Order: sequence, then C-alpha cells, then structure tokens
Amino acid sequence: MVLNQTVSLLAQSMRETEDELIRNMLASTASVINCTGGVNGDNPTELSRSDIDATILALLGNDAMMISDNIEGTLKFGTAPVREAFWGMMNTGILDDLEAVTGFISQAQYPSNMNVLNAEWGSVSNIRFLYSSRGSTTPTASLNGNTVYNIFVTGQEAYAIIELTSATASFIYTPPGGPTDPLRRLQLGAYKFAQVPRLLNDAWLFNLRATHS
Amino acid sequence: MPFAEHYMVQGTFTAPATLPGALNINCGFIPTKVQLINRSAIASMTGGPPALNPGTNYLGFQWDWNTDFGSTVTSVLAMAPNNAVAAVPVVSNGFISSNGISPYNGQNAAPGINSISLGATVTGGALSKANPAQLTSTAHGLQTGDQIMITGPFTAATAMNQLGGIIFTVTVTGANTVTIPINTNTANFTATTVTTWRKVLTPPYYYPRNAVITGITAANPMVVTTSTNHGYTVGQQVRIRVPSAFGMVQANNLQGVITAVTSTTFTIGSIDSSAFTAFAWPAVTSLPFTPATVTPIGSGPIATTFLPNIQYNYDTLEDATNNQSFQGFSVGTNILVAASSTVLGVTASDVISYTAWRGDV
Repeated sequence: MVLNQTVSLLAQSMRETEDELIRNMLASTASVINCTGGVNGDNPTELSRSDIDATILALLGNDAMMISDNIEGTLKFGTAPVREAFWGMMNTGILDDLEAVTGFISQAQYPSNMNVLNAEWGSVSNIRFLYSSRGSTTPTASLNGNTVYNIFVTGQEAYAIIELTSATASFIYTPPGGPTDPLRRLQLGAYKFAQVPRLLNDAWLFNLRATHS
Repeated sequence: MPFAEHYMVQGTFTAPATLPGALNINCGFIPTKVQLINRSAIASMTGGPPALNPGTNYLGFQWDWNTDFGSTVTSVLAMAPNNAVAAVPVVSNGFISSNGISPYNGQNAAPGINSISLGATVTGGALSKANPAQLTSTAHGLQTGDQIMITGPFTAATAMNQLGGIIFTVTVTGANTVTIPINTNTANFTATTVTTWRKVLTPPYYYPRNAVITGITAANPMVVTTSTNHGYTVGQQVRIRVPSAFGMVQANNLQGVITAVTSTTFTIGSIDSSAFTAFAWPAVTSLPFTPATVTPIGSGPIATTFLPNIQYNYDTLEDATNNQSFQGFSVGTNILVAASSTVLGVTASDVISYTAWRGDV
C-alpha cells in the first residue's frame, strides 16, 4: 500500500520535473514578444487582444501550423464556436487578465467538451490557453520591477524532447536485504530519465511576455 | 531512518582577480560540509601557519563550514593566526557570520518560479551616457562576468527607462564602478543619477540562450552586441529579430552563421548591413516595446572535416540545448576579501583547494 502510494507520487514528480525542464528550456531559448497593448504603464504591459493578434500573425507569417482543429458551433445557449488554434501555456497568475481580453471564450462555453484538456482555461481568437501554477515567470523583470509572466505560444513541431534510448524513463525499486543491508531495513523507490528538450524551429514558438494588470 | 547517501568531491578554484568577490562551485550535489584550504597562503607563509602570517597581511588559510552551524550562530569558521584579527569580516574567534560558505542550488525549479533567480535590490548611483555605459554603485561586490538586471524605479520618466528589466553582463572597472555592454551615448538615452539593480544569482539553465541585442553595426560584415555573454561559438546559426522601433528593420528575421565572436559580440559574415538603416534604441516615449533579440537556431556548429569512419554516427545534435545549471556551494565576499593588516582575507588569484561532503539526509 505504502509502496503503491510512493510510486504514484514518484510518477507525478517525474512528469512535473519533465515539464519544468521543458518550461525552463523554453524560457531560456524562445524568441520574445513583449505585450504592448495594455494600459498598466509597464513594459511589458498586461495581456491584450492586440498582443494576441500580433503573436498569431507572427506565427502565421512564419508558416507555423496550428495544433487543434476548430470546434463547430451548436445550438446551445451561451456557447460559441472555437477556431482552430495554436496553444499558449501560461501561469495562473494572469488568468484574470486573460478573461478580460476582448473575445475571450471560457472552455465552459465551448460547444463541445470532447477535446478540452483539464488544464485549459479558454481561447482568444486562434490561441487556446493552458494554465499551471508552475507556468513560467521571471520575477521583477519588468520595467517597473514587476513579475513578468511568460506565455509560450506554440504551433506544431516547434519543440521536442529527445529521449536517449538507453535512458528512457524508468522506475526503480530495490527491496530490503541488499548486500549492504543485512538487517533488511532499507528499500529504495526511485525514477530516472534523461532527455534533451530542444526548440526545433524558433519561428514557430514565441514567448509572449506580460505583466499583471 | 534516512536513506544513506554519501558523496565527496574535491578540487581547486582560483580567487577572483578583483576582490571582494564571490564564487559558486559546482559539486554535483548540495554539500553538508565544506573545507577550504588556501594553498597559496600556506606556500607564502614564513614559518608556517597558524602562528605567523606573511608580512603585513592577515591571510586566511583554512575555512570550514558545516550545515549544523546554523545561520544564527555562524556560517563559517575561519582559522586566523592566533585569532588576532578582529576587524570585519572576522567578528571574533575566527567566526564569520555572513557571506561565508553556503549551499548553492542552481536548479531552483520551484513552483511558479522560472529558472532565473535574483538577489536583493541594490540602490546604486549614476548610469552614464557612454560607450560602454558605466554604472556607479558603492561597494558593488560584483565580479567581471556577473550578470545584473537593471530595474525600476528610475529617477525620472526619461532616465534610461528603456533598460528596465534587461539583464547585462558587467565588466568591473573599480570597486564602485562597472560597465555594461551598451552604447548609451545616443540621442534617446538620458543619464540617470540613481539606478537600481539586482544581481542574477541563477541565470537561465540552458545554452544556447536567447539574448537581448544592444547594438548592431551597419557594416560588412554585420557585428552584433548582446547585453550578456552570449556563449555562442563560431559555426553557430542564429536568427536576428529587430522590432521596427529599433530602426534597422532590414535586419529583422535574418539568419546566418557566426564567423567570429567575443564574449558579448558576434559577427555574421554572410550579412552586409552597411546599407541598412542605423540600429538605434527607441526613445522612452516609445515604451512599451519588445527588445531586439537573437535566437540560436539549427543544431549547432558542424565540423569542417569529416572522417569517413564516423559519418554514420555523426552527432548532429552536438550543440543541442544544454542544461548548464548545477548544485554546489558559494564562497562569499567575507572570505574572498582582500587581506590587509586589519582584515583576514586572501590575495587576488590565490589557489584554494576545496573538499565538499554530503552526509546522510
């Protein structure tokens, strides 16, 4: 029972670690676009519709391909069709600013929830936004010393994780009673993996930087 | 009962050429005990330690730190000659209470925090209109190669606000002055008298990194200056992004292969920018704007010679994104401080041996 719980926690830890490494790679290497359409007087400003439009245009101008298909409208009150979309990955700290953007559609207003991810907050124009409390931020990095939120907006095949054949993710369990444990007191549960997160095409992914309103 | 985990690593490092300074030493783990031996000091002592010291300077020759010292008691025990030195940084009986040895975790992937971490805000002095720009900040404690982030608030709405939030690599020119790789002696910059900054304690993990461009020559070939040590190599392929606010719109989205480098500049031999519009930082009134940046692309430098027997195994990802973060310990400015007749310290460029252990955790 304890072992099963431990394995469950290790599994979560491993995938979160993978995500954080990829996040940090994107923060280190992706091209940046500062939000400039907001009104909070900072640089970058808070997220605005013009910034989202500029990012979409930049990706389309670089021939980036969108990731998700459109969701057709249906006869349900309060819903709206969702365009085919790039994906944006963001921190939870500016979800309120996202909701305030002109044209925001909450995922609860999608005509169908069949293809909605658990971490999806909604969409604006041709970007669907995923959120996480571990989304990338850069502390005090704005003109006025405020936290900058890094929103990674990506098309298809913009980045990848190169895994090594000999070091794919694996769980390790060593029962008590090994050569150095004659009293059978010690057991080990662990995971290990090796990977190289890597931008494949810098033109198909942008770090859209924003501050809070 | 904790699981047994034991590591030890040893090596040497060199004290900075400019003191006081601080260094992060890579151990591959976070140690629980560290010992430093100043080999240069011992070699120079007449009669040997600990009773005597060479000449007029009190040279430290051994420092010990253990995790159970606790931050409120002391961080470092320094072996001073007869405990004779009472001046800062040695408080009494060889104890150093701050900026001694401390664990360093450059892999602080904490929830909600990016891979970058910053030190405390420092209120400095003037940032000059010059090439390169000079920052004055009393007893800054920085080393050449350190990175700082210029941050607000600025002294006036017109005073260098364009640089807010940008990270620069510094070159130390004095105990109170550093230069940063940008030409601010241009029309759109106004000198500031008070400049706040924060030291970058943990830079972004990964190489090669996106970098902010501070200048591009209109010349053949094009030479690009970055705000930080870019770390690129000859053969690296990069893409330039120049927003229209910076003038040189012809350079936007151009890509090329680097043909020469210095620490903060690189040359793209294939781009002749002599006919381009001049690169110029926008005025404060243009804020907010996106900075000009350079992004590494491709899979890295390709060897110019191929050996037939390695053709099929050639590593085309030899320069793939590389995590350069590490764990270890920091040696602070109260150890790496210039020795004098009143201060126990070291001599610039002393060779110091270290041993670091990690016990049960």
